[in-house]
Amino acid sequence: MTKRITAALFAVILILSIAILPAYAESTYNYKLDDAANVLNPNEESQLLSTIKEVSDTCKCNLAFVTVNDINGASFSHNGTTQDYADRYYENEYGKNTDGIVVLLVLNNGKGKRDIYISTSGKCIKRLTDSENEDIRDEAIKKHNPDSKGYYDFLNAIALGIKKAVPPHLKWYMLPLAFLIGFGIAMLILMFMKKQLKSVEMQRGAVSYVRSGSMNVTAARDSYLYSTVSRTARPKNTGSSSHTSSGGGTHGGGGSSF
Amino acid sequence: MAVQEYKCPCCSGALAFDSTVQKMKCPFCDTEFEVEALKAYDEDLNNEGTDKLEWDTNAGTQWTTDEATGLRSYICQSCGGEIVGDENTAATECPFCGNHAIIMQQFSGALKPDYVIPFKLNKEAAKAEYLKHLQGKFLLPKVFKDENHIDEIKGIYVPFWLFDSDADADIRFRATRTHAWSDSDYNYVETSYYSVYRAGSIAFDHVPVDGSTRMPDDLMESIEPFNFADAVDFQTAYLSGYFADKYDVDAEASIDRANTRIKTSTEDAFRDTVQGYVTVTPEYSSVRLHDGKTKYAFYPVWLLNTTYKDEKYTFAMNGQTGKFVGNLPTDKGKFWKFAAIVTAAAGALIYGGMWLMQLL
Repeated sequence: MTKRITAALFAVILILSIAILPAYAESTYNYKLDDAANVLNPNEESQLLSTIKEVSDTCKCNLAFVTVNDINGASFSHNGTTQDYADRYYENEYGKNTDGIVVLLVLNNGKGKRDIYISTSGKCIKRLTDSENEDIRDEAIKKHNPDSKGYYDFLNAIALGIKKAVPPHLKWYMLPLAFLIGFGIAMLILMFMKKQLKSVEMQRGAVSYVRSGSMNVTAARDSYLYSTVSRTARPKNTGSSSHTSSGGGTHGGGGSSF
Repeated sequence: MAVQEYKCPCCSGALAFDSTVQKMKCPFCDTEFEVEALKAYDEDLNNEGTDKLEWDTNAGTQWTTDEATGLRSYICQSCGGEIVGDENTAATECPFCGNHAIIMQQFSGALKPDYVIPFKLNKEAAKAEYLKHLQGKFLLPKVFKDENHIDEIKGIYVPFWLFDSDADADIRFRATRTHAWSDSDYNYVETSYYSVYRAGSIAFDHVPVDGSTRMPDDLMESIEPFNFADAVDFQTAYLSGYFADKYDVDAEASIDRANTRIKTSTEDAFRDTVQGYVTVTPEYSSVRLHDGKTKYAFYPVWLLNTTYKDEKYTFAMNGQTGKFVGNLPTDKGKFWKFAAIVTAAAGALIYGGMWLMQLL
């Protein structure tokens, strides 16, 4: 028994290392800060760039931060939406379906508002779920001072949010939860085995002694009385949705206007 | 005369009922006799000795002090040794010569059973079933299994009251059906409530209730069912070779248990006719019994005793069907060791799985 369990544990460690090792083996990830809208001063620019590099290293993916005044006059073709602009920018920069993220800030989206869009590609689609993506954007918009021209705090908040959300992570309570479930499984098996040891109990009824064919139902009525309807809110989608860009690459992500 | 033995008409040895051939068999000369034939032969023998028996009955009156304590002593017809039993012992064996003795006093008057199901399985079958009972049970202490010495094994005819009854029932249930759907924001569950009414009748035959306080009720119910098709009219000859108790709980006192069982099964049977609902809860039930009849029968039970860590464990086997029951001890050390190992292994696997989901 103990031998078998040791073997099972060993197998788990093996599978984990097989899954993790390739991720560590690859090391060439690019990072970039393209401040075409000029919303950062040189000092902020170099500070943010070093943060982006750090996030790219931590997340093991390509990472580009892009600011533009509007999405017209791009050097590549796109279908005119902020989403497609971000997707195509990424594909243009790092290739289709490679692992990476592009963060796009558009100062004028044509409707008198600003757009922020975080587009994901490759492994990052799954790593950054829709709800995590939304949380990062909301947090950044909250941090942004509407009166100031500066976007350093705004972009920095997004970079830190990505750093937290993208690398493989589990919430702290997952470890005790896993062992609690394990304990539940153990007890379930043990209860089953303990039941084998108990064979003495009173009979529930006298079902073995019913005279065969003696049952006779003389009246049977099923009457409908009333109905109640209860509703519960559906749990939010916890996964990641994806779409195909006009360039043919698969991307995830989402954006907001503010 | 207090003690009855069946003598072999060939060699005068004490006869015993053989469960394999379902006949009386002489252990000394191997002659087999039909129970019916032997009964007729024995009646003739008894007629000869009637006058003599009267004498012994007079002698028996001296033991009235024993009666107060519930003890009885009898004289073995084969060796003259004294057999001591309690007031309910009806068949036993002589501790000195091992001959089977049936104590006739116990069957006087109204105490005579109506039916008996003769033993179909012998002592070897009971031992084999006991060993089988210990197999495949992980939490059973290894020591218990390895030692597995049986302190005592005996075949006992246990007195049962049998209840026959027709039951009329009116039962009302509250039942629900559910229908679920959802839109983009909510999940909806519509629960529809129904009042379901069922009326009808059902009949029960030979519902047994243990009539002996020395047999634990739960142990006796656990080896059920007994198949009444094998029951025959009672004859004392079937008792030889086995132990027997007479009832010490009368039919009146056993009725409650029979009622409970019949009522439960009646409700269950009508509950089963209510189909197509998610939940069915009884709201009202009226079960009326009529044409109830009570019979007194002896059913065959093998009883095994063993001791483990100063605690007594009793096992019972249905002497007709071979159903074997008996609670077994749990190895607490094994229990917690297994719990720890499985918790650790399953916990690690689940946690690993969580990481894997993150990585892939």
